[in-house]
Amino acid sequence: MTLLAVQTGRSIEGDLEVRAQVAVVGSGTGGAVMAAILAEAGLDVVILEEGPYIPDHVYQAYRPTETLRYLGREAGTTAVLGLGDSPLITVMAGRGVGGSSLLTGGVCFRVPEYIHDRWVHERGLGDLSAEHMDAAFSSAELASSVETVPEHMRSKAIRRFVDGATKLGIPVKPLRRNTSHCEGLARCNFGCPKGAKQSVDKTYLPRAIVAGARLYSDVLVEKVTTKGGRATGVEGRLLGEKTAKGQPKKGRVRVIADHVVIAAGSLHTPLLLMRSGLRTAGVGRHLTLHPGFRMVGRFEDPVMGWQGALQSAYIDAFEKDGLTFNALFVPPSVLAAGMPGVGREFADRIQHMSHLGIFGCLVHDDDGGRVHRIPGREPLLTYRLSPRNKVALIKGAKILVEIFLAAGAREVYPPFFGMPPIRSMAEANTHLVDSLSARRMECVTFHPLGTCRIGKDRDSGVVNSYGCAFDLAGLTVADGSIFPTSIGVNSQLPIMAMATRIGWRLRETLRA
Amino acid sequence: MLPRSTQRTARALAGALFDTGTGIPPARLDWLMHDAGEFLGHAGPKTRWGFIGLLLALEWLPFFFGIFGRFSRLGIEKRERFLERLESSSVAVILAAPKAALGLVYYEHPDVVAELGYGSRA
Repeated sequence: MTLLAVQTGRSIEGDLEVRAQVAVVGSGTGGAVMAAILAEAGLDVVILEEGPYIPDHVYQAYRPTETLRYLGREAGTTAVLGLGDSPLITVMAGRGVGGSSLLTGGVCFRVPEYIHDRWVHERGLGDLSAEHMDAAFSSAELASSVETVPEHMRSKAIRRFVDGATKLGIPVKPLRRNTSHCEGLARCNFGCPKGAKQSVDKTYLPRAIVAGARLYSDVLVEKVTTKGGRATGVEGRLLGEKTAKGQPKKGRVRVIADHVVIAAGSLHTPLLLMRSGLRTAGVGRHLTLHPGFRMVGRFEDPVMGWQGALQSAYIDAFEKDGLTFNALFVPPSVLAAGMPGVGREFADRIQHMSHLGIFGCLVHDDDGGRVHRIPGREPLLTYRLSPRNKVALIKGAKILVEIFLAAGAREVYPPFFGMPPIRSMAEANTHLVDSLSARRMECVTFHPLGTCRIGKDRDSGVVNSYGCAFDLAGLTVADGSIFPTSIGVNSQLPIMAMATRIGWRLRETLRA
Repeated sequence: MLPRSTQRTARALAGALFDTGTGIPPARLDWLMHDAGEFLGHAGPKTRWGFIGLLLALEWLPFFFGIFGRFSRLGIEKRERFLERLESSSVAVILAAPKAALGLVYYEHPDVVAELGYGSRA
């Protein structure tokens, strides 16, 4: 059990006014890393988190929808509107002390070499090469207990799938995850019941607090304050229950700081910058999502997908097509929520949960999305799937069908509304064609990136390669929003590594 | 809680999605309505009103798919036939969102979890 010294905004009467050297907005993967590095360097750090603080021993006992209710942004119902031939995409994002790191499956990839090369050679970002970022990745891996998932932690469902892939000559590799003493209960992304997942509430945030950082939850930051072209702090309000008269809680928040770090995630960082009057053209644009789907195969005999690590293996053999495949499992409620089908057939599929194997696919996508500022606390999100990304997704679906069938699955349930189960490759070739409407796809994402991306200058980006805003001195961005492109793999470790190198640089700058 | 008129549609939808042939006990549907309402309360007003709007659309849409009658008043077979047609149409998303919200909650009911033989915490 990890208990953090957190002051909740709900418990504060009146207003909150704080002075600090650094104000960090957001306590997720990026903000926690920054706070730990800067606090351990002796700087006075304040962390402001919009969501609540829920200790691990509490969220470990939650049902999946309770996790979504209390730790998910909009209870996990945030959606991106598809424009043109694009699906509606559900975005899973965290909102609580620890941010989205509480809701990951724990998968840790480094940024693939070909992405680094693209950043260096196509974007002119020399200091984002694999060599330059190696030390930051090593540091994040060490801090987060990244380890390889052993083969014996694979469920029977995944072992079957691996057999199918092997028959087809497709190599399947073991995943790495940030876990310690994982017992294979297959529900990491709804709060590990055993506390084995090393989310930032167990790693970086305790370090930051021990080093003197002050962490406030239930604080909504609404704008960055500025003076003479320089950030001077942040303003916002305390969140909490309505008063006895039904009025919203009125307490205001003002933090005066020498430096402001924004790490509110790819959906809310641009919104905050827009509300703060930052006029850099790229703010909110170039949203990438890694659109993905789950393919479900049904076997004749029980394969007990929940008896093993939630995510244990992956396939990168189709990297050139922009496709990454990850083993996974989801609880019956989540499976039922997203699996196409109606009526008795649908109920029967869920009833045979123990016979189902699941594998996921995500695509390294183009920057077809945008965060729009609208009235209210949440942004409007739009996304246009590029034709080549759509073709890649359909190819990914075909590959997974082929592997499941080779593995002996009786039938496979593709992620397209209204599509019948597939029992042969002939059926797959009939149904999974490039002309299929992407609007029929059941699509989900966990990795929104790129809405305040790094560029060489203000014409090509919002921040430089160390997260410094081009148009506002004293402001650093350190979260997934600064990635120059999508990365084709899970973003947790890359965000930590990016924040680490930014933190190291900022530490030296502020000390000087 | 969901408005009473919406609950009627939601109950009819749950019956057409989750019934394995033995019928769904009314107490379980009561629990579903209560817990789904609580869940949507956390999702915020935009999602809650969107959910209610989609259920209203579902209630009146069968007519446009060649099935006469309001959704909640149709027999189970007609409801299933309508949902099949709706899911194969270009407006499948009208079904997807309410189905997701109800499915998320329904399959967490302790009796349902026990029936599935699911060995981890739902």
